[in-house]
Amino acid sequence: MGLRWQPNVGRFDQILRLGIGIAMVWVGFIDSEIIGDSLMANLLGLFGLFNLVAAVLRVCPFYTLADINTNNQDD
Amino acid sequence: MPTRTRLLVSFVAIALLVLTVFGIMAYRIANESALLREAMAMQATVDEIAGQMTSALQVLPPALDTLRGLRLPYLQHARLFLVHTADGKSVPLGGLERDQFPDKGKLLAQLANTAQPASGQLLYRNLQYTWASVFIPGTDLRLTVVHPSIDVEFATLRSLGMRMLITAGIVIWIAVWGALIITALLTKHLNKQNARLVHQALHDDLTDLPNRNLLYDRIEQALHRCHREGQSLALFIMDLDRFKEVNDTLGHHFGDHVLQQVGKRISATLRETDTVARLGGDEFAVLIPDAHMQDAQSCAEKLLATLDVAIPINGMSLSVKTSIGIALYPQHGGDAESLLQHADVAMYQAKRSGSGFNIYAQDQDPHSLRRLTLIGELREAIAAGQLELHYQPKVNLKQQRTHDVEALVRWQHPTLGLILPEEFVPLAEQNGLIAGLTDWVLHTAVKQCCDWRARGICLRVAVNLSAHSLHDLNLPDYIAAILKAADLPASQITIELTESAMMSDLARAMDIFERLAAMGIRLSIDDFGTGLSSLSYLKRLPVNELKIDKSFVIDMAEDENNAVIVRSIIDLAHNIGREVVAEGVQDRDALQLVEMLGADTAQGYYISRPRSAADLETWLHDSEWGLRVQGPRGDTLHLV
Repeated sequence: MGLRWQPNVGRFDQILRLGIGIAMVWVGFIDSEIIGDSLMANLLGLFGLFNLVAAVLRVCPFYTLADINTNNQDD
Repeated sequence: MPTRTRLLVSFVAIALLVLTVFGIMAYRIANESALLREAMAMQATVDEIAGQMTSALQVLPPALDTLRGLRLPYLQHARLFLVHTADGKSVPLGGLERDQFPDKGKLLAQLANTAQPASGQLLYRNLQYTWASVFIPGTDLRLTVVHPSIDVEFATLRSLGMRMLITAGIVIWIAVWGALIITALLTKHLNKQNARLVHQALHDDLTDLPNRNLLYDRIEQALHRCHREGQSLALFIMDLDRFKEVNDTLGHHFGDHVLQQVGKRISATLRETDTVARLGGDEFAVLIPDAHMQDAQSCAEKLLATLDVAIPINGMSLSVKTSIGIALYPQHGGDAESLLQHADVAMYQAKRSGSGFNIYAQDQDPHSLRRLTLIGELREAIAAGQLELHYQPKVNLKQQRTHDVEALVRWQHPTLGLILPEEFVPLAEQNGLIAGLTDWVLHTAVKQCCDWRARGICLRVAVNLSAHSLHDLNLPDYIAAILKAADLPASQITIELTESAMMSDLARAMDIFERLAAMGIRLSIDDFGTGLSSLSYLKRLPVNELKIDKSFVIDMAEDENNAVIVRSIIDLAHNIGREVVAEGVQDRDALQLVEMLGADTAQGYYISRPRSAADLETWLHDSEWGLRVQGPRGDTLHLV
């Protein structure tokens, strides 16, 4: 299975990821007092960052791996 | 529930289960360690207090009262503090709930005695307390302080809860993703597997060509299209001639190789839109959409030319001949079943004739609708009385009289009209109905013969036997039983068997003929001259007469060779003591000629066609060859 870098994140998916991503990055990296644990905070931040990147590029590598595409369904 | 949902739910459930177990574990461990830390801290504090007490005891007279009077800040907040003396007495010295711990004092004393210094937790009235017990330095007294535990649980939950929550979120997220990815991968794998299985189910393993099932489907589809757009199509069935020899002599491995090569060649010769299928064994089929008679013919010729080129195998070249049967839509059938069947029929015809390819023609088809209908109805026809016997006179040429008639079966079909035995007797032979038919003919002929005898008409009746009747070794006994039941002398019956039928199983024919002859039944060889008789057997066979095949007699006037043959047969027969019947006498010249050549008996349309029993009686009455005797005064006396 080849990794194809075609957009596979739909509009709704993108908005959801943006929201969750920003929240996670905020809690993880910027206002990490809420968590109170640096490891957890970093983990959450990374997770959020990943989603943020996927949302911006509209490509999720896991979707590519699993042949999931939310892009078509939204269009 | 679809697999994806099921997998999703189970993944999330497992994630939650693991999270719960780990959460509880983490909570308990954190809790315990917090309590331990508190107890240790308390012990350190109490230790310090004990030090302060020592200094007070050194100043004041050493008494418990002194200790009781001490106002140490820490102890003022304690719930209880007490001193254990060396003789095991516990004396509560102070604390906010001094009186509420009467029993706990003893318990604490015991605990304090076991290890020193000691600390721990105890539960009293649903409240958790931390205690610490240390020796007061310089005395044999021990100080134990009990303090309510700080709310460890809340602290633990506060520090652990958030982390657990975040972990849970991430883990569940991953679980959902994992489930989605696994289902997607599984689906992908299964789809691939399914595609492989579907391919396998619809294709032949050896040649990877479509198999019969797929061909059927393609034909159906093509027929739909033809129906819609008014197109035609051609279906070929191809069979390699004597392919079994290749397998038997060179082995299956080579046979398989040949089949693969043939498959490839057929595919290469045809267009992309044509379907080539292997039906099994050495049988292939080709479906050519939008093809007319000419297209089909040129295609077949092209295929034969391609397949005619020898196939190189192991250094030698193997030439395989192919027979192609062609059925066309719409001329030869409207559905896949009939097209395949008709192409098959045409293929066998091509194989038999060695013509390479053959286009289906209904009259060659042993399975045409009319024949199938007849087979189905013949059984009932016998029972329903649709069969009848007609009788054709055999005229004795010396006496110019009719002494014999040949019984010929007719089928008066309710819708198809009169059907001649040439058509339905072979059907009866092929479908196991011949025994019933012979039975009916014998019974009817014997009955008719008896009926005539009773009315003074003395005629011998000849009955034809089929080659298949020879298989029944009980036939002579059976005939004897019929004759006996009808009380008819055996000499009144003639049994006719064609020469070819006799030659098909000479030994058995000899056996049956000998037994019939022993009973006194007349025996006759029908269609003589066409079955390549063995003359040595002919001499030994107990037959009474030979019937010269009508093909010789009919052309005798024009073809001298036929006349020679007829003369020779007559001479031969007479020389070995047999009578001769000339069949197929159709005109006066033929009659005169066979009479001149010395035939004993003549039979044919010139004399009379086969007639129903009643009709025959009229003929016998009126005809010059009838059953008359010359009266003394030249008038005729009828025996009727």
